[in-house]
Amino acid sequence: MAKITFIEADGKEHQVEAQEGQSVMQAAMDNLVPGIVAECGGFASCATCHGYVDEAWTTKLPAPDAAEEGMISCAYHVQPNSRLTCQLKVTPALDGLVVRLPVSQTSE
Amino acid sequence: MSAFSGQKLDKIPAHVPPELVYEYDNARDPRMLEDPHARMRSLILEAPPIFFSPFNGGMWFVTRKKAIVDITMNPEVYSNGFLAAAASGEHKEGHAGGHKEQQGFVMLPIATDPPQHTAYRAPLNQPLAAKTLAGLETAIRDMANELIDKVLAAGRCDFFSEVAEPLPVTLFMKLAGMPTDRLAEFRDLATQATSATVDAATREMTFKRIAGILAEVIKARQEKREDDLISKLLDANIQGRNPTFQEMLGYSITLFLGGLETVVNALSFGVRHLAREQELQAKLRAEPGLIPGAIEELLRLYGIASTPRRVMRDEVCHGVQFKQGDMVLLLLPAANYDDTAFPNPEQFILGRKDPHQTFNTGPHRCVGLNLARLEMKVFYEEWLKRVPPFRLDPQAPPKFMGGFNLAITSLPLIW
Ligand code: HEM
Ligand code: FES
Repeated sequence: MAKITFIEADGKEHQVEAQEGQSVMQAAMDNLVPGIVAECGGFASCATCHGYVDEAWTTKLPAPDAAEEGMISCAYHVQPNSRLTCQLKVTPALDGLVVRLPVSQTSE
Repeated sequence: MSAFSGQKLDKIPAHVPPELVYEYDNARDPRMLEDPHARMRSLILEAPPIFFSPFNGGMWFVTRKKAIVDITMNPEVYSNGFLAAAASGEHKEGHAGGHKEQQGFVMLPIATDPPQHTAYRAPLNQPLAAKTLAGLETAIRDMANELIDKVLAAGRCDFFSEVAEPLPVTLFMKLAGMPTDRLAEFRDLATQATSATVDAATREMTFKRIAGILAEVIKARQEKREDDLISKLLDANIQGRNPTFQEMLGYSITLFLGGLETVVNALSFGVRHLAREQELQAKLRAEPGLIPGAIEELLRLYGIASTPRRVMRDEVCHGVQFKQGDMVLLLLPAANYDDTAFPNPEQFILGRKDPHQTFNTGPHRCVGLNLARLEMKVFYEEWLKRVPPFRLDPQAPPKFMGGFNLAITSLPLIW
């Protein structure tokens, strides 16, 4: 179990209990966090699970692989700390992780 | 594909409970041929949510959105891999131990499952992303206007063959970097390749001819790169190497088939809706900003493609026992009439909350959806700006076809 906080672009916070082994995206979907769409179901093919990982955590996560990197470049509102949340696996070390969400998962 | 040309079973398999049997022929159901989307709605109202039909070789049909989403998100159990065998003409029931050498090509990335699929899909994502495609908008606008120029003065046209068919083929050929003088030839091939009513031999021939033409283009680009999709794919990195010639063929054929009939029919059904709804036509003319939202709702009302999966192990899905080897057809156009997600599903309502299922969900979710949306947006903008209020020609009502895609075969309009 790990506590993850999602913060919507307007500042609204959602704290969820994530299961070890699931993805950060899945934890958001299971708890109906708005702002994550996840159209492809977690296979790094849609970039609608885009989130910004808080500074303190960027170094604690494995770097994105080629598929994730390629897909991030297709996303909108990209920042240096952009990640696809479906590619982040929940581990006990991620307890307390903060993920901020973009204004939109599309160009709007 | 082989599943679709299959005959009607004389005997329902033992594991199928009688109350889940519902007779529906995906290619020839008479009510579907009369009004395909009304038939989709009736399947929601009349048939079990997951039913078994003895037609088309015998398979399960899934019509509810939630069940379809669950299935598409679980490719370990519900596989696309069998498409590889179907496309190369190999028989579904392989002989014991005999793994036939596959000649030809594998449809990429559609005929693969994750994790392999993720590697094959990655090179397509960027060239077909909304950001990348924005640069094509002017070219699409010119193509749309050329087609409108040809029909405008006559006050009538067969929208299907004179506008809807040429637009995506021309665009595909431009995108792929192909000479547009082979347009008519390509259009015929595309229609034949996806039709459910042509026989297996004709289909195989068609696939061969398409492959032949695309092979020429690939060879030309191997010699010399241009600024097109085929050139980009040649340099793509698939787990540390470039795609082989066979893989290039597999990509191009899937892109070719995936982007033609689907767009042609989505446009035709959409325009048919507008032809019958003068008020909506007027509203969109007055407020072109509503067009993208209207396109989404038209895509919901008029889903096109359905897609099969093969069950890889015995599995219970929403209360129904599937057996390993069963075929499941996800009726995406029916899921768009599922009341649970879409209240008053027969009505055109702008700004619905739930996304439609027309592009599917899961790893295979349409990679061409940004292109399709852009094509449709630009087309509707130009068409509504230039063509006066149009309606169906009462003398010649549209005709429909079934199969993998719900399709129109003609759409005479007058204005
Ligand atoms: C309105 C038009 C379109 C519709 C309704 C549509 C529908 C679909 C659907 C339902 C799938 C998923 C199939 C599955 O889950 O097995 C799909 C996949 C695909 N589509 Fe489209 N499509 C459209 C336009 C296009 C265009 C324009 C292209 C070409 C650029 C295209 C290329 C593809 C490809 C390559 C795949 C396979 C993706 C993969 O396996 O990862 N489609 N399409
Ligand atoms: S859910 Fe599609 S890329 Fe993450």
